[in-house]
Amino acid sequence: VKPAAAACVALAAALVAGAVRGPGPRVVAVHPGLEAVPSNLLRIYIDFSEPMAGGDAFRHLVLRDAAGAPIRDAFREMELWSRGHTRLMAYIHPGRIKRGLAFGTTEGPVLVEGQCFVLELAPGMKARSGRAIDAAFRRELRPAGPDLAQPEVARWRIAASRDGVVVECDEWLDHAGLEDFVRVGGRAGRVEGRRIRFDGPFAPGEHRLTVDPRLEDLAGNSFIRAFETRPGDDAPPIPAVERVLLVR
Amino acid sequence: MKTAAIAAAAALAAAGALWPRAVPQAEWVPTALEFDAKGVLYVADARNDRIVAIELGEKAGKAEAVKVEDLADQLASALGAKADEIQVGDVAVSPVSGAVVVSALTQNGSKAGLFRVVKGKLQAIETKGLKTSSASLPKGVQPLDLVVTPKGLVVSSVSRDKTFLARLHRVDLPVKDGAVATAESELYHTSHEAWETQAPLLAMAAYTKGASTYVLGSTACTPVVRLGADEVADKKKVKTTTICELGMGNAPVSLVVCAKEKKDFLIVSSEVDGTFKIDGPILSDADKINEKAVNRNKGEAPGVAVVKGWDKVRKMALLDAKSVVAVKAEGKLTLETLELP
Repeated sequence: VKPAAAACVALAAALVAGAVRGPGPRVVAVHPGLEAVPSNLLRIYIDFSEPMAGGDAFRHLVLRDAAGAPIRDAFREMELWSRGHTRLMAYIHPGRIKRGLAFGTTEGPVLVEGQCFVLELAPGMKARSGRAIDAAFRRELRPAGPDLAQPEVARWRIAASRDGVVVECDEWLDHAGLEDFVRVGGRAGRVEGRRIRFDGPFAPGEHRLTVDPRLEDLAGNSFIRAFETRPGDDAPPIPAVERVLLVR
Repeated sequence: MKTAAIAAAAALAAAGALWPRAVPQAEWVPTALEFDAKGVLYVADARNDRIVAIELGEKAGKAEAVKVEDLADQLASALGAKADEIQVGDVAVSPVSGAVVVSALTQNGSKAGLFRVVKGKLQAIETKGLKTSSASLPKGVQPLDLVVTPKGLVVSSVSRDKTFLARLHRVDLPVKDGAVATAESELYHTSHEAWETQAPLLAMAAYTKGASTYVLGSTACTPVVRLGADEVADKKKVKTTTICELGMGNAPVSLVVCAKEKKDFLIVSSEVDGTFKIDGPILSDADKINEKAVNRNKGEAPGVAVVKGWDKVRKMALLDAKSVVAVKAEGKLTLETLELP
């Protein structure tokens, strides 16, 4: 083997290895996609560019306080993945959200109105491909006050035309819930923050916007009941929430 | 020329080291285990969100005390993993053969399996060739624990996404797809004196008193609750009865109903204050419930005691009338036989 050939082999091997390593897994979205979350934010979704291995999420996912210190017990550390392992659902510890619980009384709330927090995913979290996230992901969270009210579909704005329907919720709602629980004429839409776009064509006439009442807002308040329940609360079952919209 | 060859080999080796190794995915991830009286093993599969029934076809036998001091090492060796990656899903004892069965998985679910304990050694259970059947749970839920009742299995689950609801499922026997009913569960939370629909039962045990069969369960929020096994029906909201509050932070790991000197009691292992023994009268009391339930957060808790020496107990199963087999985590994972407290 001549030195030149050895160099070629090495170069080719390095190129192939590099190509296989490719861009590596990365965070493609975090839901909710806003900084001004309610202080009683319940759930965060993190979407990845490829299926992740799992088992190491809470070694990499951290919430930092305004001083940059990691918050202990910020999450209920149970890894919940979508079936394809591309979406991680992380619960802010419910015991520190729901008022009156002993855990929250001793440890305090995780998010505090008016302060700045950073959601951070440290590098090293592994994908099923064997590759690991190679750069930290950070998102600032600036909590507003708590959201204690149930969502209300009557407050949603709807723009309907033959080309399509755009539903704008009056508040940010659970992202995955919006994907699965809201339909116009049986069709699913594309979720873009507070808006859901339903592609046309829609025939002139009446169409039904249907919402599964299990849909929750960012604080876990659903159409069925508020996240904070009071003694004696006994919500009756609701089959579906509907609004009729007119396409001219 | 020799130098060049060495350089080429080194370059290839370096490139190989850079080559990412895919993380394999186990075809199934057995977690919670439970035998029925006929020796059929029911397994919660956390990979495929289903319940699997396996007829192990074992001969009748008697349970014997077990001791496996190198449990994690043996499981790691069998699964091709490191000992510190090993988690024990559950342990169960066949009432027919006395076989002790352990489910194990790596933290990332890449490797998992079922094992039988034979004279201190773990033997992998190959399901190929055994008679099996399965029932899928509704889309989007992951099973947590299961119990056998006279009217089928009761399974607790947690949502993988979208909704924050505690659910219970009844799986009719024999296990088959489509035979799953889903109910919501609601429990009284002693800590803030409110009813909850969002706390899944992490661990459960079946309890028969007279003609009634109950499911006893506990949530991460630490109340121990009771519900009638018959109450789990499709689209029903099951209102459970809180019978005891274990105290803040005592996330339950395993529940076992036992009897000693004709007195029933419940053992609950947990990760903070250790393992609790809850006296039988509390399990079926109709008066001291919900707001009036025995509450360790309020100091004195008559009928509830911490079991000395059991503070590192994790998963448990009743071995025979006098003992349980328990996974302990005292620095390393072990499997031991413990005399009933």
